[in-house]
Amino acid sequence: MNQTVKQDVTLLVVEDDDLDAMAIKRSFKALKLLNPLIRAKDGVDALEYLRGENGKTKLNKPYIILLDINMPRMNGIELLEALRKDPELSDTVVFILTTSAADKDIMTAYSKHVAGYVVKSEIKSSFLEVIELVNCYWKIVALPT
Amino acid sequence: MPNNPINLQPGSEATFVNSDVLKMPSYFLYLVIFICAAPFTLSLVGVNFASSGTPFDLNQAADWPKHQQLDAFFYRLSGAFTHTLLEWTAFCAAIFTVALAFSHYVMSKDYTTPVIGAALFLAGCMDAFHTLAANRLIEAVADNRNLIPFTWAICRIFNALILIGGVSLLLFRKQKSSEANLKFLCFVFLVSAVVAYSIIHYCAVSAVLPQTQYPDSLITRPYDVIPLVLFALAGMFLFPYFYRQQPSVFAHALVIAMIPEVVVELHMAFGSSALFDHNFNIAHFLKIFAYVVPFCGLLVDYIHTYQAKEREAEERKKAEIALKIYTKELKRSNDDLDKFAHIASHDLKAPLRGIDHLATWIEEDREDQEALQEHIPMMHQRIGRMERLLDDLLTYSSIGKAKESSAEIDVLSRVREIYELSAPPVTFTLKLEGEAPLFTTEVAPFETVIRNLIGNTIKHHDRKDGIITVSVKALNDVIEIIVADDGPGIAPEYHNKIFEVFQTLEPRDKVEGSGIGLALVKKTLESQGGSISVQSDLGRGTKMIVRWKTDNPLPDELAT
Repeated sequence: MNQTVKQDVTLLVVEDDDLDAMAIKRSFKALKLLNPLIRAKDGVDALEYLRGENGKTKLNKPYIILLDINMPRMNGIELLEALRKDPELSDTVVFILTTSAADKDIMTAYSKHVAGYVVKSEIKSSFLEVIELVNCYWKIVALPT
Repeated sequence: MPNNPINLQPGSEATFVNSDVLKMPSYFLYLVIFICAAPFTLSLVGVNFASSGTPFDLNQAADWPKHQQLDAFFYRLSGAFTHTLLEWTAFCAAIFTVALAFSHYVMSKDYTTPVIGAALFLAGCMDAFHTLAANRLIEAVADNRNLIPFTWAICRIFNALILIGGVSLLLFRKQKSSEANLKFLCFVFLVSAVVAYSIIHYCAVSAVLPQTQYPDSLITRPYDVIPLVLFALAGMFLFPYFYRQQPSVFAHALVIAMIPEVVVELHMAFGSSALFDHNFNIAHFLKIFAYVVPFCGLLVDYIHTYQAKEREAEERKKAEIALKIYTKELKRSNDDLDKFAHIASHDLKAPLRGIDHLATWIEEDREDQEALQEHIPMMHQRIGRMERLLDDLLTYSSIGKAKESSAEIDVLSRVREIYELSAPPVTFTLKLEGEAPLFTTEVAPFETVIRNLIGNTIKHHDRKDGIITVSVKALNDVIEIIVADDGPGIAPEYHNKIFEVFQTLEPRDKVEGSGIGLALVKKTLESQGGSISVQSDLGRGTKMIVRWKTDNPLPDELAT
């Protein structure tokens, strides 16, 4: 794969907290990334982006999801379940980015095949490291298209 | 919280001992007295129970055919047959008693029954030896006229002594380990059996036996006075004392059994003057009852013990089920707590992290006045949110803990007051329907419920001209209050979620709220015995159905 294709990887941030979403955006800017960044407010919103429902434009592959767990309507774990059940979306690469450090959540998330589980409190005030991780990841890893 | 506490103590009814349970029924006593008195009464009116036995001339009989000879012998021996049958029936009763006594022991582990049962059985065995010797089925040389009355008297004395011995054993011997007890009992049993057989054998083979019958004196059979005294003393003092010390139906029956024993000896000592006469047969007949009465007692005891065991098993089963329910409830409440702690920590961290973000950004954007103008109000907003979350959390956790003051309230006017205090937009309308009687209830929790429901309808309504309809209806012991709106409605899949702590269907950044309102409503209602349910669908408005218990609030210990 060449450089231009990799640039096209979209980051779908599923996050109900405006400030966290803003922080991710700022980290994106700080790293001068040009990849498209889309924000969904909860699981339902995210599914609508992924399936192109409810007047939203369907997201084109390849993409990576940065997923919060505690959200209104449909939480992160429920969205993961929905993704893994959907034959078209079951191959989606998902990173969990959450405040929950509960073992149960970590185990559940990995049992649903997430690529990584990042606890928010461990990353101080900026998401710079997470975004760097995601950036490295899509630079090096071949994603499903 | 369950409103019906489950009784975890099994056998709360069984521990209460009914004294009637440890007695033979009184009609049984009357029946025994009746049976014992009946032969004597009948003899007063001339009934004769003697077995006469038709005599025949042996010389003549020599010419008779064989079968006729045999018949004649049978008729001649009718007294001996009657005697055998009566003795053997008594022996059978003793066998049944000991069999039942041991099965009773296996179930109840109570030594009384096998000890007394074995004593009765030994007495029965001795009776059997006596019968066999009398019938010449075991070797005997003594004259039957003396052997039968003499061994009878010996049997009776043995019977009385072994019962007294057994009871004394139970009364005065210290209970040791069950194995030692059992060994001791087996030993005593074997020794007694050998003694019983030896006595009869000795009597049967000795050519000369003391004279036992004095037809012309008042006491026709003086040897029978000894068992008479023994039985009378046992029946009056020892056995009643034993019954008081270790009350059981069987012990009670043993006391009653002394009635036929005494009557038997009265008939013998003062009545019988020859073999197979009137009183002889009556005594033998009544002796059967002397065995049957303890047998009946044992039977009743056995049934009681069995029933008690069954009841116990049932109680245990009930307790197990109750325990299971409790365990389940405990697990659920533990899970709830886990969930609560998890949610609380997440939701409390969120505004903190927001503040941290903003602090960083303020530092980073120091030069950018415009950005700063945005960051600072956002920071205040997060601080406010944090404060509200903490307040709500405290409110939630203290629901039902303190007893609130009660007052008589009129639901509809309260609803109107609360609606007006909720500062609805002027374009909103409140409709009130139905009517409910005045009732007394805790005011603060009631207002919490109504305020949150009305507040929710106003906050989540998607139009300016919302209509809220509150209808009330009095049912049995609840007031049903339906808060309905014509707002956006809630999809069925969220109907459970909305009642959970800190669950919101909209991001907090869109609609400010801690997500505790409905959880608060639900917990409040549950702590006072009421309930809430929701009827709603997207685009169809929402109906919140509250059932508020109107009867006395729960006692404090249940509310907490």
